Amino acid sequence: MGCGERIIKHFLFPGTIFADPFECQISTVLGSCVAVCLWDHVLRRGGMNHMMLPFWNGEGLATPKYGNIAMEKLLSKMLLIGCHREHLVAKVFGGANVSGTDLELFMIGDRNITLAMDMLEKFRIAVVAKDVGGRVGRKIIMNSESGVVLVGKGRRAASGG
Amino acid sequence: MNITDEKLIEELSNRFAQSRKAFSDLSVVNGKLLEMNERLERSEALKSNFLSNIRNEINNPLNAIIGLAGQLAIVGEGNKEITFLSSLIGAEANHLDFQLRNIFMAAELEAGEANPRCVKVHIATSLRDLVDSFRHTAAKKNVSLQLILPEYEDGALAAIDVEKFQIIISNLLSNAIEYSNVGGVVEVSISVGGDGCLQISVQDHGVGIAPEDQQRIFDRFVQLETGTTRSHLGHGLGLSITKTLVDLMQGSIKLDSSLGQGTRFTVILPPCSILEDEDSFSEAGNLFLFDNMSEA
Repeated sequence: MGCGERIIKHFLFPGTIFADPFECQISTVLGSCVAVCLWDHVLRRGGMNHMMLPFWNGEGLATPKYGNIAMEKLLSKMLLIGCHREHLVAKVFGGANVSGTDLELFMIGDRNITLAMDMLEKFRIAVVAKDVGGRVGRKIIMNSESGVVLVGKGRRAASGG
Repeated sequence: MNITDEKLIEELSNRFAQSRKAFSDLSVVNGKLLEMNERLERSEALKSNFLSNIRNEINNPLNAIIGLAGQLAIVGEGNKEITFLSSLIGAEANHLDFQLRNIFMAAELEAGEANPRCVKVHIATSLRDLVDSFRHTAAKKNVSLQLILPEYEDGALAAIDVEKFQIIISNLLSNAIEYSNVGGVVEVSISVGGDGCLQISVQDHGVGIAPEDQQRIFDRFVQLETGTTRSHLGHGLGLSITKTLVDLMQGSIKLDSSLGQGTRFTVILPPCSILEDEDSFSEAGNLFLFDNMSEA
């Protein structure tokens, strides 16, 4: 989808990826999901993913619903639109513990955050901002040209993506 | 019981050695797993790139074949043999088109590029057309297709992603026909709930699915009967695509089945909160109440 003159607004559905060479406004809503925004500070282009679970277990389709796949695919998409890996910086959001239990098994949010951080370290991409964890959902809006990400926090513990 | 210090130390050092060994074994296994996962990802990436590259090269000639078969039928009207052959070409090409649509949809989903694009459509007509397109396949097995539409909602508009809706229902229909007994009946029904949710069910009276297999059927490339002697067509991709599409549209899919009694798949799709050409999502789709936005 080309963005052209007018800034196109793209709502990022859970388990999908968006990156475009033109200026876009990418928004998404996060609960225990984690979104990673990558931004090339030289080329001034950006993209975002939205992972729901950390690892693809080999069952079902290998979609970017799973963190390890979402990270690889977002990076390759960024390279595809002309970005350079060494110019990329990352911002990480989400991973709230919305179910309200401290049982490790259910702490999907924490596991998503760990996965995202580990993958970024593996890619040697610096995390310049993050707002993760906690118990409330978030809404984020990224401008892909300026790299600015606005974060709105939920007023109460919420369930959702 | 008396234990000498020497014995105690020996036992302890034995146990330490054991746990060290277990730990090193685990590290080795973990390393192998990581390596395996990387290899898996690499081959996945190769496959995805391949599919998105060949998409147009396959679609264009295929559409030409489907179009030309239609033309041939018109040109050769009156000639029995030409009409028969052109309808065969058309049917086979349509079948190939259905398979390829599935494969490309899987590629799109795996690339994370499949976004719901909803438009308001006349849902009953859309479903009727879809069912009609399967009559030819069903007739080959002498299976009859029944479409059950409640009277009142004939004419109702629903906001859905038509392409994805068609793929979901096509896969369920195609399976229902494939697994029906010869001369069986497949029932497709649709209703709209009070909350605006679309509920579509596809019921066959065929072989059915054993309870222990009911989760596994949504996995990729799984057909319950495997090997060279399997009696059913297909590649085991359809249901995994269906499940992923339903998830993407925030819906749910369930199945009721028992061996020999047939299977009923029920898909529930919530009304779309975002429509093409509208920016309504930011207001309508907010799941939470948010504080003022701050920059990060």
